[in-house]
Order: sequence, then structure tokens, then C-alpha cells
Amino acid sequence: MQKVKVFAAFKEFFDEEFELPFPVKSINELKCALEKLNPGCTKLLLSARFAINHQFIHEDRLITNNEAIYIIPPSGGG
Amino acid sequence: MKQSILYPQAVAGEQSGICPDQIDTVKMISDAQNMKAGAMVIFVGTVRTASNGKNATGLFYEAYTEMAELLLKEILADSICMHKLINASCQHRIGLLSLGEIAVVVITSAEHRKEAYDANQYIIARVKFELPIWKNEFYTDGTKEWRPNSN
Repeated sequence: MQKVKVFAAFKEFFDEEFELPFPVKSINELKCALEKLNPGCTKLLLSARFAINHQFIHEDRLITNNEAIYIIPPSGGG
Repeated sequence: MKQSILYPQAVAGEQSGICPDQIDTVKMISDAQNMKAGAMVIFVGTVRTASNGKNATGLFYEAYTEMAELLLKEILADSICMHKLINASCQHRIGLLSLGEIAVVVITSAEHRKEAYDANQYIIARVKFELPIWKNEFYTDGTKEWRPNSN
């Protein structure tokens, strides 16, 4: 199953790390899955970026079954 | 990795990165000293009380450390290349911080001050908006909030 890791404000909606109940092939599918799991995250998802293997990915990138997906809320460092 | 044309040996501070303990600013300055540099600019970002119309009592920084350190190296390498630097370094703190504590340090060295100033602003702007680092602010009214950057 695909692992998802979330940070910061997303941890108010999800466990820090969890497995998706069904596989997704795209960021759009991932967003739909997350909204189904917790509709409260919808607004935050609008400004999120996504990473795999420590690199940001384009939303049209194909996601494979064994990849861990990192959900990145807007930065707040500095 | 990009290199400075002027100083191919220019260093994107090897000690740069995400720091779970207090940042050793003195060591960073010492490491950045270079006989070719006529200017060294040091930016120190600290935790302030007034934020979001409320009074903060402190904050917690979280990072996606592996990715933040990769991106930071890229930003420093870009700054060296673009601004003719002799070296550039940056450390960003994570964990619990009190008011007044040092959150981030950026050091840039160049032959002349303009390059060092410009590069320093370039680095901190990208650090604030690109690195996967987040702050959870604690307020005097007992609330807390994850805050994105606004400036």
C-alpha cells in the first residue's frame, strides 16, 4: 500500500504517517482520497505541494504503488 | 552543483543545514572568514512576540529535514553562482524556541559589500518561501497556530 507522510497543519487532520486504504495513480486521485478520509483538509490541500523521494513533483506525474508521498503545506520558516 | 565563475572553489557552507540545537553563530562566522572577502553580511532571524495580531510566547519549528537540506544546498549554490560570492552558509533551527532566540542565520561573503548584501537577501527570501519548514506559534491566550510566511 502507498504510504503518506504529512507535516505541520496536516497533522491536525491525519496521522503523521499512514497508508492509503486504496492505491492512487495521480495527485488528483490522492487529493480526492484525502478529502474523503477527512473533508476538513480541503482548504489546506489547495495550497499544498507534493513530494516523492525528497523532490517536489508535478501534479500530472504518475504515482506508483510503492512510492511514499509527502504532503507539504505552505512554508513557514525564517 | 553550480559553481561561481569568479571563485570555482567557493563554498556553500558545509555546516549549513537544519539545526535541532542552538545555532553556533560565532562558529559560523569563524568558518566563513576568508582572506579574499572584503565583506561579510550576517543575517540573524529571531523569534518575536507580536504576530498575527496576537502576542506570541514562543514557537515550534518542524521541518522535512532531508528535503530542506537538499533545497538549502541548491539555494546556496545558486546564490554563489549568481552573486559572485566567496562563500555562503545558512542554518535553520527546529524544535521549541523562546522569544528572542535565534531561528535562522545566513552568512554571505564576497569581495565587496553589495554582492554580500544582495545575496544574503536572496537566500533568506528563498529560505522563507521554499524550504519545507513550518512554525507553530503559541500565543498568550493559550491558543496556537501553524503560520505560513507573509513577508
